[in-house]
Amino acid sequence: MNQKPNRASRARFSILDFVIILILLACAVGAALRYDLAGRLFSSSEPKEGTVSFTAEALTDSQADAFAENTQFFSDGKPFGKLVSVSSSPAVGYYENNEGVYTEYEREGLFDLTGSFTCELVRTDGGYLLNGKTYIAPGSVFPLKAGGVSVSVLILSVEAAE
Amino acid sequence: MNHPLPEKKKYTFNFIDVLLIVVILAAAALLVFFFKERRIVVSDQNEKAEIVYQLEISPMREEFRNLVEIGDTVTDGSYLLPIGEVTDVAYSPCFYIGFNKELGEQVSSDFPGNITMTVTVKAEAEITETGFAVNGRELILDQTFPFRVPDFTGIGKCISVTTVQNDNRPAAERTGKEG
Repeated sequence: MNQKPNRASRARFSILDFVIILILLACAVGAALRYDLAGRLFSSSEPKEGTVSFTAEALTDSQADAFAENTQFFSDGKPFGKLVSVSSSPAVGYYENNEGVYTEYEREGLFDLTGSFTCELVRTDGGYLLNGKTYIAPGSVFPLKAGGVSVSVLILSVEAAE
Repeated sequence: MNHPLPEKKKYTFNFIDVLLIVVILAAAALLVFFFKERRIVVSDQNEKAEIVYQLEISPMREEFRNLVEIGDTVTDGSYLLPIGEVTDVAYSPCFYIGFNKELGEQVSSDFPGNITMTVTVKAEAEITETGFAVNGRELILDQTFPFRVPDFTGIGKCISVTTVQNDNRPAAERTGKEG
């Protein structure tokens, strides 16, 4: 004799399901807040090529040599930009002399570099985003890698092409 | 005819239970993260006040002058939350304080290529037991924190915090510095 399926065994929406859904929603909201997912997902702007100028101070010979024009640089494993211009000068340091005055001196064997990269930029209300993801503005410091060296550069200006 | 009572189903630990535990652990981890990162701030008091605070960026490279504009939204560089709106920006020379060993006294000299920038920010702050907090950022005098505006980022030192009612003077007068 066939038995009718037991009603109690059927899937029913219970308070436990509701709690699970709430927790899942909380997780999603938390992740969205943490990683600014909404801003990224709904960012309508396409990246545009722009110019980012920089300075890097007190570089050794081998570090300075890595800054060859047209070299692609990376930051945190992601493309940063291609070096389009660079100039080098003897590194400048400062010390306090006997009179207590802040005095400039040349740091022998070290170099200060200035130059510019072409990067992919997105303009948002909060400023420029490198590759549409990472905030970049004058004053930012990026650790860059290329040619087997790692150098921290200070961003001096950011301009997207019109 | 009496039906026999259905046999009580034996409880077994299944996939849904594992999922449930994982979800609860993830939610707990998120809560801990947000409280630890102070993205969620629990305050004993909900009293709020409109405040004006000043951030001093010194020494700052001369080429960064004029990048902060009135009306810019200031974002906390650590928590990435808005912490007010720029109402004034002032610049002044930057000095290096050294010690003249011959005279045995403190002297100040120019800090080459650098200036001091003072940014005045208006914000709605929570009144906490220790002072004021804006979106979780405690404003403590002489303490530094990273901040952003659209076209500049740096580390600012909080040099003043006043409630708006007590602070109707212009920024230059409050700092005593020239623009």
